[in-house]
Amino acid sequence: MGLSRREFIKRTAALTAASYVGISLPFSKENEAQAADADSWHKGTCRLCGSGCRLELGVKNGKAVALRGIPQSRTNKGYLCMKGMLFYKLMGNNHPERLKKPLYRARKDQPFKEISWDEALDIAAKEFAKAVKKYGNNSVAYYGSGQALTEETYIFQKVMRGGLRTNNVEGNPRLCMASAVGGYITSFGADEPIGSYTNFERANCFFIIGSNTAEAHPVLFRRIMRRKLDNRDSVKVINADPRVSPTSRIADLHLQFNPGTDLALLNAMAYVILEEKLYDEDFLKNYAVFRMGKEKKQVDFAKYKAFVKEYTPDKVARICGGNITPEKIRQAARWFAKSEGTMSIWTMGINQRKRGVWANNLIHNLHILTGQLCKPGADSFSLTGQPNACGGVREGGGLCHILPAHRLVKKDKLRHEVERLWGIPEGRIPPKPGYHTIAMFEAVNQGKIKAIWINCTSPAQSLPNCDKYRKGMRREDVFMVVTDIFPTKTTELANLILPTAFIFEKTGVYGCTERRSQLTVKAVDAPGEAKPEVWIVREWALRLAKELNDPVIKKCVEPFLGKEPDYELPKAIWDEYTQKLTKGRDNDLRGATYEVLEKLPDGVQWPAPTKEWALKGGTDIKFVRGLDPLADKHAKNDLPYQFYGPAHPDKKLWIWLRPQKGPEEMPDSQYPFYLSTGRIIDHWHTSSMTGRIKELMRANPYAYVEINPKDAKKLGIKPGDMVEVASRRGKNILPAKIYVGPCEGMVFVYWHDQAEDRMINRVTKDAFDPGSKEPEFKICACRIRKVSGPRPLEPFIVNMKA
Amino acid sequence: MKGKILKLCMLVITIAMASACTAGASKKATTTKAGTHPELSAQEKLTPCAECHKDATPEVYKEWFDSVHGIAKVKCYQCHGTYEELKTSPDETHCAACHNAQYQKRPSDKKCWDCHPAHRFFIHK
Amino acid sequence: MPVGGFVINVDPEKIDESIKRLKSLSGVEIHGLDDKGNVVAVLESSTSQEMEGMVKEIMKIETVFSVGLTYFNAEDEIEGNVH
Ligand code: SF4
Repeated sequence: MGLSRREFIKRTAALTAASYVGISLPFSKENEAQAADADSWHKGTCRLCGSGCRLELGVKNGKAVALRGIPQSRTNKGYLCMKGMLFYKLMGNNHPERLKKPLYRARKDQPFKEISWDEALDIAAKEFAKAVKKYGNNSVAYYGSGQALTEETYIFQKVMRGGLRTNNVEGNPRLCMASAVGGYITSFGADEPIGSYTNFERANCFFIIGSNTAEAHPVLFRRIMRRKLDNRDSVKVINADPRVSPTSRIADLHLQFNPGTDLALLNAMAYVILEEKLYDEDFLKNYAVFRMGKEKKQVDFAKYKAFVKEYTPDKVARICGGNITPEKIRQAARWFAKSEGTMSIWTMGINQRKRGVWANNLIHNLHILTGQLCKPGADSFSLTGQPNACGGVREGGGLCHILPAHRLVKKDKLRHEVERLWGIPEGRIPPKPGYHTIAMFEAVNQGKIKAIWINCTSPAQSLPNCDKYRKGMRREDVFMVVTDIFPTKTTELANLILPTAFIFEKTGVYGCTERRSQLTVKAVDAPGEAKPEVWIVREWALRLAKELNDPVIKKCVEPFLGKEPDYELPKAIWDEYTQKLTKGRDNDLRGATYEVLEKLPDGVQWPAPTKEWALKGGTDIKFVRGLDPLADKHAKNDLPYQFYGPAHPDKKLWIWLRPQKGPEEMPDSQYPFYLSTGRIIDHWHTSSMTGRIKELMRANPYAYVEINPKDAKKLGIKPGDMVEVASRRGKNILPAKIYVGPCEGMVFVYWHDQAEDRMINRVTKDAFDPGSKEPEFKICACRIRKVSGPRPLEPFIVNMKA
Repeated sequence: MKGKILKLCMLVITIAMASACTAGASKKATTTKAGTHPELSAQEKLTPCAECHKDATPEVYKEWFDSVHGIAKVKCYQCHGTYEELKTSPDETHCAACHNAQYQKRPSDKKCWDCHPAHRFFIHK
Repeated sequence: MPVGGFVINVDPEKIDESIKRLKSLSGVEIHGLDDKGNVVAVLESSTSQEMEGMVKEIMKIETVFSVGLTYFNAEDEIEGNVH
């Protein structure tokens, strides 16, 4: 092992050259592994999906050299997918394309030039102040991310709300899990899942609908797979999806319905549960009521029964099409109701629907009807796509209508409570929620928003119908700041690009799907002049206070002044948020201090009001007396479950009467196909990170359109042919994959690709759920035609134009 | 200076393509440092390993596809690396990225796959 | 300090002569060869510009047909540019 790094590089050079011509060289290959030998290993959380896998970063001479799983972690038990194994390649100076200096241009048609941080922060403050003075407080906006640390989202929204007096605080979780939030609040009275990943090992039936878990949450899927393979006969897996995906491989029953008929299917399962008396009478009596309509009118069981009567399996099988038969619906309902512990799992297939909240409600209905909640293995569990959508945005106050710790903006009492806790004058936070995401970018289009700060996300690619919104972002009268680690489709439209530190280059908390907060402490230096966001916001706020001559803005960051930005500053922010803001709330995190989080291999599940409780890992299952400290505290009677959620004054679970509702845009003679989109295992989101890791890029260098073999035959399309996918909004030209994945009449496209021709959000539709405001990415109408035979293609990633 | 580096990098790619073609023509089964793998064109390198190996090594493909790694989408390159760093026998530190606890406990005279047969990965042989 | 891995194609009839010429250049290490005239070489220089110069020098040798870069590492150079 006495090989120097230089020697090592030279040997690699020689070996690579030799490999081209098939010459074997005499060096022993042992030495190649040496790059992975690390001086030290540092605990942290994976950056690349919502699973929250815990891992250790290997550091050698200040450089990130390897990642490995932490076996004691309760999220991943040591396993990692390929993304989790490789993202060290993006850290520090490992990647040449990292943004390293603030870049500025006054006009968007000019080239960027490097400027100093002083200049950059002055410009950002001046532009926001100018907009506020001239056009009012609601002419400025923040658009954040479920990938930002909780400390970052918290301080951004604090400065926007308390400082700049606007609720224009949004983020990409609106595109991702807003419908799940709506579902949890309206059905259970409290956001976020009741149970935990521990239910994967306790469930005897899995109902996976609208989720390709195998690719989107691979390490969680491993746990489900293990459960199934170790109990092949007793554990049942139902997979309901218009597309056969790698997840379907472990399914006993695959329900392939036509896109947009899911609500009917779920109601038909309820029909069978009622007809065959598979519901849990006691559970219903003790814990549930029935409600309908906008007014949330309470109705009786008879009314609900009459409503469900419409959804006979025979009729619904016809509505659903695909492979659905009445018998399959009955089978699914029986397994669901009768198993010792049924766990439903879903993601974007349910959430990204015109009626996503309703679809969520209908899944919860099945669990309430059958009492499949709070018991071991029984759970209605929405998986989250991003590592900190739950912790940072849902809990930290990162959407236009919510304040930190599950407080609604429009509730005067809660709003004033926040103002008091922040020590700012009452009335400082406006009572009206701000723009939700689509409305925000619509306002950008109309020039109503004059300055917008986009942090750690790329709406230019990730918004549905993105060409429409890119027009607005290109406007010269809209000043755009973008904070990120790499150039993206969105930095292309910015005036000011601020380089930020990546995970492990700064300190902070991520909260994953199962209410678990996990800390990552800085282990390597950020490249160049890249800075942690918390420092950027603090410094910006101080300048804003001067520009606007408003001491309250300074007041918002006062507790954080003088703190060193790599650890002390985020810690102070976390302390304020947890000790003050979450105190007494359902996501009470007072026990989860940095000190406690650093002691644990993984982290803490809220509610965790005390350190003692937090050190045990927190609350595994909410609402159960003896397991959840808040269930004991709020107990109103002797029942074992206490649904104390803040949104239901009656402390009951609500079963909703929700009718079938199709998508906004149905296929017709002009656009005869359904278009749906999704992910693949090797890439994540807009691939700004995964696309820059050679191994991942090569594994999936470009997006395909998946076409059912029957449709392909009719249209004369062969594998690899170039196919145009066009909608009323835009078009793509992609290579075809002929595959019994999507059902007949439907095509499916991966959404990560940055090449203009293969960026599918130019084609998708921006209709949204009227309740959750989450767009219907998953369904629109399109037409397809072959444009040519196979063509050589190049992978593409945005780069900085010099 | 950056421009120069870029140019050199581009050169790497073009040469890689060119030499792949000529080598392929002059020499059928050339070897990489990993053993015997035919040279690949730039386009071929953008194909998932399993795509070809379905036909090239159908038994191995099937074993993998039906194994827990196949079901959980732990793909070829996660253990064997991509083309340039291809290793017929994976580096055991790759196993350890996920199976670190087991790796630490393993008998030191054995390789992981001595007990957990490659591509099938039973719990024990 | 950039490092490059190269395949140099030389006249198979004049391998010995070519190797001698290559070895005489500074910064060039020969790691292997075969009878078809493929020579595996590693070049080391202080800048990538200099490396391009070395490649030109090698091309000037009459028995050399082509010089192909297969691997290039200039991480210190890239890092050096950062600050
Ligand atoms: S499953 Fe998600 S969190 Fe886990 S390693 Fe993979 S990308 Fe990271």
